[in-house]
Amino acid sequence: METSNKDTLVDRYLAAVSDLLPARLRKDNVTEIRSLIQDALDDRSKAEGKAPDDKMMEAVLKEFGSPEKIVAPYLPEKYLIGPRLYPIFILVLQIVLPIVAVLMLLVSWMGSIPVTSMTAVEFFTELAKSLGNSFSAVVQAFGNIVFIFAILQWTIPEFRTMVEEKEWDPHSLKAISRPDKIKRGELITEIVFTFIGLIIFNFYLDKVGIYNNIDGQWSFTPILTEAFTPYIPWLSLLWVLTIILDILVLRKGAWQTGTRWFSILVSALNIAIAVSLMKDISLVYTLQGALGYWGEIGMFKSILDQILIVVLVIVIIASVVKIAQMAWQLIKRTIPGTENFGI
Amino acid sequence: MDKPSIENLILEMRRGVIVLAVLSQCYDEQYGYSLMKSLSEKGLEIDQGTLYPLLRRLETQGLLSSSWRLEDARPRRYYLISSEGQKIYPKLIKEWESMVQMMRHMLE
Repeated sequence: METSNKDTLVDRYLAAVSDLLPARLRKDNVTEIRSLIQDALDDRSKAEGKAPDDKMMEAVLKEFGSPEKIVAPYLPEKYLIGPRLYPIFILVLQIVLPIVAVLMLLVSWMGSIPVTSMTAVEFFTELAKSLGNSFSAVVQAFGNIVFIFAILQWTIPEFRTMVEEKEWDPHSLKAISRPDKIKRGELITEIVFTFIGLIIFNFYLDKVGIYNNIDGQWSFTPILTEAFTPYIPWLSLLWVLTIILDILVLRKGAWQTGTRWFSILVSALNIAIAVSLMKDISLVYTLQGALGYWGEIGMFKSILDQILIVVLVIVIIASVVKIAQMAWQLIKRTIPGTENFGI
Repeated sequence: MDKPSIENLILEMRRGVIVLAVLSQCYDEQYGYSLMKSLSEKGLEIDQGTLYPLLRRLETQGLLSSSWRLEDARPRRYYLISSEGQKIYPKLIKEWESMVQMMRHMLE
């Protein structure tokens, strides 16, 4: 064996090992690994009955494995965000990201050109822009949170160690998540209020308005305009479908595939109506004669328009979230091993 | 689903006895390679990647002590069971024997 070649191979191996080890562990471990390699080489040479050569050294190093493999057990586990911080990290994400998403969507929407003078194309362009801004803000917030937690992980020694086992209390166990379980109280309340809305908007529409009591005399001013009339059949359809869905779910006692699809349909209709209403918001109601001086001020009406738009945006977001939840539960049923525990 | 191979299952079972096996061989001074050979001769094959970090860990825990010595112009780290290790070793043997008995009873 050419000594120079052998040395070169071992030296290169040990140099690679040295590079991977932290400075405080380097000298001791590299010396020991060198000695171990030499022992293994001597042993192999004795077993084969010949002097060590390059092939033997190669075989020994192969037996030891790559520098990364040999070094791995010497190193502590490294984390960008360790197990001790991870649950807090997830909790912060769950709180901050939805808030950032909704806030940015609203701020971006409010900052866009007045919705009332938009064409349909302009409206959807602005909506897409607002969603884009919201998405960028969420990504940026995520990056910042990761950065902050990575700094905490690196700078606070306490977070580098594993969590010590505390005395465990069985009452700390979380309730089993049952996405199929229904909330009867909520469903019944929804049926009652939807039914009342259905009756009012179909039979007492002329009674919807502002009631004022001036000097003991009641006065009434309707606020809904003719532009609202085309919405009544659609709203009625939505409410009837909502009542049918709620009754079906109550009868079945749990969410099932059919009712989940039905719910997606109802939410989609809800979104369609809300989007359409957003476009016509300034036309479907009037404040003239309803609020005296304030009713005559254009600015007051346009502020109210913006507030109603925000409410409709929230309705749209809630419906999108509901569709996503229902779709996810439908997908989960098709994936083996992800069935819901419980019902 | 991950199906564990028989080799992996055996490896997992053996992992539990390595500490006891290593302590048993360190009543005489051993350097890494001689210890590996000694364990291998007695039927316990263990690779370098497992043994050497384990030796360092046992040293950190105070169960082994180590010292560098120069032999044939080569530095070698020798490991020897410490007084703390000698206190714990009989307790581990006792536990091992009770486990063997328990498993025999279970597998009958």
